[in-house]
Amino acid sequence: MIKKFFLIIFLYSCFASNSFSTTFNWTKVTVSENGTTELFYDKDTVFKVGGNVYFWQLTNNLKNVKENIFSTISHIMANCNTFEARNITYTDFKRPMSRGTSDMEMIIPESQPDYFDWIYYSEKQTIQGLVLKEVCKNY
Amino acid sequence: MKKIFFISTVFLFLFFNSHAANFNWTKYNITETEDSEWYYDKQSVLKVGSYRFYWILTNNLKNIKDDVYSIIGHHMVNCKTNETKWITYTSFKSPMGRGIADIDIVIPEVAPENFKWDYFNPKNTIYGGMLEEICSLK
Repeated sequence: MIKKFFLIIFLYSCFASNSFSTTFNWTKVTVSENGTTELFYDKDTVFKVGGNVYFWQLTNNLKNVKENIFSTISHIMANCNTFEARNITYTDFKRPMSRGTSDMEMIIPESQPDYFDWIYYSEKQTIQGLVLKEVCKNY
Repeated sequence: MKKIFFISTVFLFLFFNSHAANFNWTKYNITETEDSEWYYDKQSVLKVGSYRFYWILTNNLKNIKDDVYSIIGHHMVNCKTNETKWITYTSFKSPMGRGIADIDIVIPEVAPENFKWDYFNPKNTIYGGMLEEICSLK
């Protein structure tokens, strides 16, 4: 019985730590108060490199959808000491949860260098701040 | 018996739910001259729109310059053409991304002239072969 139990635990551990795919595993963080936006991040690919923490974020636009953009994915770099962040990549999609066709994809410091600025997000007043709080909790 | 179940459950919960993500480097290859070895993180390979994004690590083994023993970068690849762009560059004073981080930059911000598509032949370059492997992941 004990042997069987440990075998199951061992197999589960191997599977859980070695399985991977090229798709995201989104964790929902929050929805804005007016219900227009919900934010997710991928827990498995939050990495600290040098002085910054990098993570992928998915935004679903739930209301007031403009230009048929129902969701976007961004790779974001964050300074967890100052609660500042800036988006490195931007890709939009015609359906929620990054499904459907992709309309625009860009590397922001290349295409829109003026928008590649550090921005402070209050964890109390902004939903982006709540994502940073979650992302930075281990750093 | 109950104790074993309890401890194992707590261990599994803590291990899989609360630890921060760390890189899990897979060694791809070493250069013929043994100057450098190349790794990538399988878990970090993600398809977004037309491209795949991934983290790589190189260890400098010989001819160390400026005390840079390893480099970590976030790169993107167009799997149709085997071309890449290198987005971030962070150099370290010790192997395997350890030690003090020296240069820590976003390439298109700091050196836009270097942020261009570069082709790597999968047959005669280490990086090209690694790209082929990254592009073959399901």
